Amino acid sequence: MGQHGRDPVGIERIDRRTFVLRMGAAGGTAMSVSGLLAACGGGGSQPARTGSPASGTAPDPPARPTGVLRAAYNQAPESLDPALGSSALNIACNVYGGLMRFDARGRLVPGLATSVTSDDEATEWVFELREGVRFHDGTELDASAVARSYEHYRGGTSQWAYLIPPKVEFDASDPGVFRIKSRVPVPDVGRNSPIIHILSPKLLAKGKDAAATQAAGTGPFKFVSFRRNSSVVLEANEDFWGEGPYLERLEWAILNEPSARVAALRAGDLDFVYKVGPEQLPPVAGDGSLTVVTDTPWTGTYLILVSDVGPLANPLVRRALAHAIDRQALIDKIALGQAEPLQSLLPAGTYGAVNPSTTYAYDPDESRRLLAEAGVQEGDLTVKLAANPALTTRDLQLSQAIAQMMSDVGIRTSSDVAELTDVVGSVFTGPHKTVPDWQGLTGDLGWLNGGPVFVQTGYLTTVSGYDPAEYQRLANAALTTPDGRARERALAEIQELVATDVPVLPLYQPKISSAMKADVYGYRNPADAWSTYFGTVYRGA
Amino acid sequence: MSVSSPPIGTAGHRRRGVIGRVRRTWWVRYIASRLAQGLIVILGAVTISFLLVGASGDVVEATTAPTATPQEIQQRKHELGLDRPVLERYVENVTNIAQGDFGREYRSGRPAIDLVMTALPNTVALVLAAVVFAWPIALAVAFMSVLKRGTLRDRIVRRGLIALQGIPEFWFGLILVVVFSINLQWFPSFGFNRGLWSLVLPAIALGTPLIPTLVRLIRGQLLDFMALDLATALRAKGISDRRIVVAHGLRNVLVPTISFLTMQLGLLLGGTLIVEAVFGWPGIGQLLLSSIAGRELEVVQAIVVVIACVFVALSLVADLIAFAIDPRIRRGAS
Repeated sequence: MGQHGRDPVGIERIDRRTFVLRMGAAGGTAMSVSGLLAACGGGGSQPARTGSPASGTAPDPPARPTGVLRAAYNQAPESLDPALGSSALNIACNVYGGLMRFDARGRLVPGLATSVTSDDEATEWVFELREGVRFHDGTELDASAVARSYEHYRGGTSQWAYLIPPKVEFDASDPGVFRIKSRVPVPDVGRNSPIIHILSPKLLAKGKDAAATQAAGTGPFKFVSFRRNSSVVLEANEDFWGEGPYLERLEWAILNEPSARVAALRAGDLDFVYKVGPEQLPPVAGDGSLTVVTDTPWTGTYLILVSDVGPLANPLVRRALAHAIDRQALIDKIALGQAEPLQSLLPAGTYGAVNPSTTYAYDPDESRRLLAEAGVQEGDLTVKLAANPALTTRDLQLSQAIAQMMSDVGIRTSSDVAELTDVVGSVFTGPHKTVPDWQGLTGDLGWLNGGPVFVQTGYLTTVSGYDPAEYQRLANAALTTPDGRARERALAEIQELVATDVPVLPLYQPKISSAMKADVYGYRNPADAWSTYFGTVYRGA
Repeated sequence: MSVSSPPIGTAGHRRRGVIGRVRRTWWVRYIASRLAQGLIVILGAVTISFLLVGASGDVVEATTAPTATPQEIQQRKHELGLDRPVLERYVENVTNIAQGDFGREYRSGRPAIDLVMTALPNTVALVLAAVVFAWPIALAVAFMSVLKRGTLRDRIVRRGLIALQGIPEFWFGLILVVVFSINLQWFPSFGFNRGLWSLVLPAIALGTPLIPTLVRLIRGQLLDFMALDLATALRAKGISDRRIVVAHGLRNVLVPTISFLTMQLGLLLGGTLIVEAVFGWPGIGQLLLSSIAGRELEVVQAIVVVIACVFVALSLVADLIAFAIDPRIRRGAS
């Protein structure tokens, strides 16, 4: 990374703020900007483990893989190929693995590479590969295998192609070293590497569809079976190069319905459920046989405002809206207390996240004053809000609550449930030539690599139409400056600019909770809110 | 008196031969006619699904990387043939489907029809189990209601059925799980890995809403039968109402009930989504849900067309069963 010069990346010296998360709607593959995860690993904050009689008294992991974990798989994967979308990330995280990975505290640590270095300009990256690693099918890991997977990821059908900068060259001439060379600075190559899983070249050689139904990686678990809309079964890879696995077998049951997942856990048919909704937490927390692990991932809930045309083109009006919204009430009533306040564009824990000096306290009087200053009379302004239930389950309630708060300061509002295709066709069109059907869109955004990837995807610009020259300048700096103070300053200025102009209103940073049997240990929620890693999970006595 | 056949080759012989062939082939023509109607229905399903799939947004933009260039998007559209005129694509679509080619799932590369035919047996098993569960209960309740007509018990049962019909499947399914899986721990809460045991709760959840409709149908038929002169005559012979209902009424309700159930099978096949979601049942409903979410439009179309085919086939089967059971229908058709 840039600021480290030619020194090997001091993995342990880089905290998680160095790594940004994915940008994109949490809705996943269907979203054009579905982003990525912070890869396999832990969340950005210390977890809260509650409800277990064994809390704080975790036994030692078993000496060899033992026991079975039956977990719920929340989103049915159509394909096992991790390059094709987000639904297979849980599997990829446990079967494959990237050159680097994020540890339980969100720090970038060695994965299949023992180190990563770059030159000062971040134009050449060098990954020193781990020796003696073999894929599950017996193939040896070398630079050409890595290059083959990187080529696979930047292929035309890959959803994550944007993680590999365009026009970079892969150098696999030394089997033990994988190099990425570019003519322009590409400062996020190391940070993106946990998301690019390395597949067996033998598997990829079988054809472009082979990885859809089979899996062969280097991860802690080996692929056993995949039954569409039913189950995915893995077994321990006892030759795994890292810690674990401690489980002999990992069985995922594909259950799309959240209530059914919790019911199955309580019935004893499952041992683990990821992302238990706030409304389902009380019965789970009250069950003495279950444990809940809660973390705050690198995800934010936002209201994005169409800022270049229509009723919200005036910044004074957008600031008035910001003052009209009672965020604490949203946290209490919509997120049911399972969220942290969020003032900045970047959620806490992501690379470059700062608290901007410009904030908007809940102040209806100030909101009315700003509206009057903008020349808006009470009842004159109509704002239509959209909520897409495909993105977050509570999106509609959130949108309706915000509509009510806006009504309290004299803004006429309506909130609709927007179908995904409608949102894509009518909202994701900025900069806008005409006023889109909706002027506000609520939803969750997950962050892969923090500011840089967020800027790269152009999500904010596309939805809000907000794209002033100053923002473009800062965005360019954030994308091309190697890690260091200059880059962090650019990101901080972006956050301040956005806080001032309010093309997007940060609402809160939701927590995620996983529920499991009380004898399940070693689990942390993923920082990306997507990839649940079981390599270090074990069953107690 | 002997009846002699017209001499071979005479006009009379030819006429009787034609009539005989007509009598032998009327059912063949009837089936052919119903098959032709079925083909029209299936063509309609293909056409509607093609149009809906085309109107549901840009599949290329939804399934390519967000950083894809306009050239890459155009190339992808070209690969999928989306840059060709709609009519041309429609003709090709119909031709391919007629040959059993529904295209391939974008993400897995598997033939769409394979995915559907893998999921279909699971849904068929679920639907049949639901019918097997609902049918005897409905029959027993209807018999009781007819025999105890107007009594307090009859009124309570009929009011109860109205309430039963209004139960949301989703809620009912979860209640079943809470009671029988969480509290009593009798049945698994999801999946189908424990054989018939796994089928019990989903079948109850799917079959229970069927019961009120079936009861009303059977009860109405039985009451009609009991009002006939035949039933009065049987009573006059000293035969009890219970015996009249069981021994004679049942045959009269079979045809409408079987027709109803057969058509209901078709409806259930396409309507198991909620129950499959609650119980994690890997059937057509789940496949449809995940395919829509993943914009796998070839799979969506394959599901729609296969369901239409099943519907047409079941309709034909219902007619044939009715023919076999009821001579009045045979006479009318011939």
